[in-house]
Amino acid sequence: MSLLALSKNSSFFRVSRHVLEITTCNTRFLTTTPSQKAQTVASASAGSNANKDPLVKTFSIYRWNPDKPAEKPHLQQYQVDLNACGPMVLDALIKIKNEQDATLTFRRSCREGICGSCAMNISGTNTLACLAKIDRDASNTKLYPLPHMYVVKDLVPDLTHFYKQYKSIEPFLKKETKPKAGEREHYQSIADRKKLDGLYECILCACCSTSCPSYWWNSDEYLGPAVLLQAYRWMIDSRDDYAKQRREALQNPFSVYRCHTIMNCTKTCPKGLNPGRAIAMIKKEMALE
Amino acid sequence: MTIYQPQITWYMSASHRVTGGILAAVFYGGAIAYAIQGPLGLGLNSDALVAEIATLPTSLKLIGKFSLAFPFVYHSFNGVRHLIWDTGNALTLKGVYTTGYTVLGLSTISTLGLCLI
Repeated sequence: MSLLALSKNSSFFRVSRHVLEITTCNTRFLTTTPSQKAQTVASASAGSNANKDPLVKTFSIYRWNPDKPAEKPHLQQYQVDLNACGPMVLDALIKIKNEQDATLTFRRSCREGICGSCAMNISGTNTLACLAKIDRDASNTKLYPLPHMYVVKDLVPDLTHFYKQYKSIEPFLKKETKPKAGEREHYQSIADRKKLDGLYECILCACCSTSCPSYWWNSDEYLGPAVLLQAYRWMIDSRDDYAKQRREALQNPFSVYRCHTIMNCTKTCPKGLNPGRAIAMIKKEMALE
Repeated sequence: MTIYQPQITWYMSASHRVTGGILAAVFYGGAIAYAIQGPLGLGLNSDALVAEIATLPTSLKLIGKFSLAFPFVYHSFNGVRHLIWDTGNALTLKGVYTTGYTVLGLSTISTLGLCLI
């Protein structure tokens, strides 16, 4: 067969491709010409860029270098052309690190809002940088690390204590009896499984806990909304046998009861979860015991 | 704290605590002053107080009424909001904001009402 360039996206070849498919039913056409396709894609994006004027905005980013600890933390300004940049704050951060300042330090991984690495304070609110759209109308966007956390460097907070608190609530299934031989699944009704919706999706990004004023003032003893959400998730899991003990572990003035229903947590959760409500449910269950 | 975006959530919560403190100071202060007025010769009885306040200019009377009425009313209505939360209701974002605005609205109206009587 003649080597026609059959680019799938090219409408010019679409008609001729169908004709060829009918006439050559025994052979499979599978030619890819990546160079040509790449050319069309590149010209398309260059074309759209050339039509827009550069839209330059300022990013004020918190900087602190642990190698020079005497230097005070300060806000450094960076100019970014939003028309040559992806739509999310993380895109701008990566662009700055690639093109302007390679020393800018931040955590990132999945770029799709599921790993929780890029949690930071953007224009006053805690969210994930990969999910936060750059405000094209604001002249300046402020980026800070998560509030009231020890800073490792620039936008990277020290989450060691946060993880320790998570470990302390024993976030795993605990059964009274070992499973019998041959029994492999822990059965759960659909209604019981529904109770876990809105709880299991937590990605432990720490946005909620670091938005809570109570956690700011008492992070050493108060567990914080993220950890308490998970505590509740295990408490109401019908497959878990240790709900009573889990509640007893929280019977002290600090672990749960520093929560004063400020509700900053629910407002800021980038995954749309409701830790405030979960904590209120824990308090209710503990009160009724 | 200085960088976090002002939001109804934590601003109303902070105001609840502040108004609580103000009310505590007023009630405790008033009660203690009344209790120890003998040796101090304060003369805190209703007639004397009414006569004193009547001599003040209207603007001061209004300011005084406002500064007593608003904390009391705000703290009371927000207290009810907290009690609703304790039952497990209105704990969604929508619920928090709706009840929040209701409390602010009711507080303003009640304060105005109390100032004008």
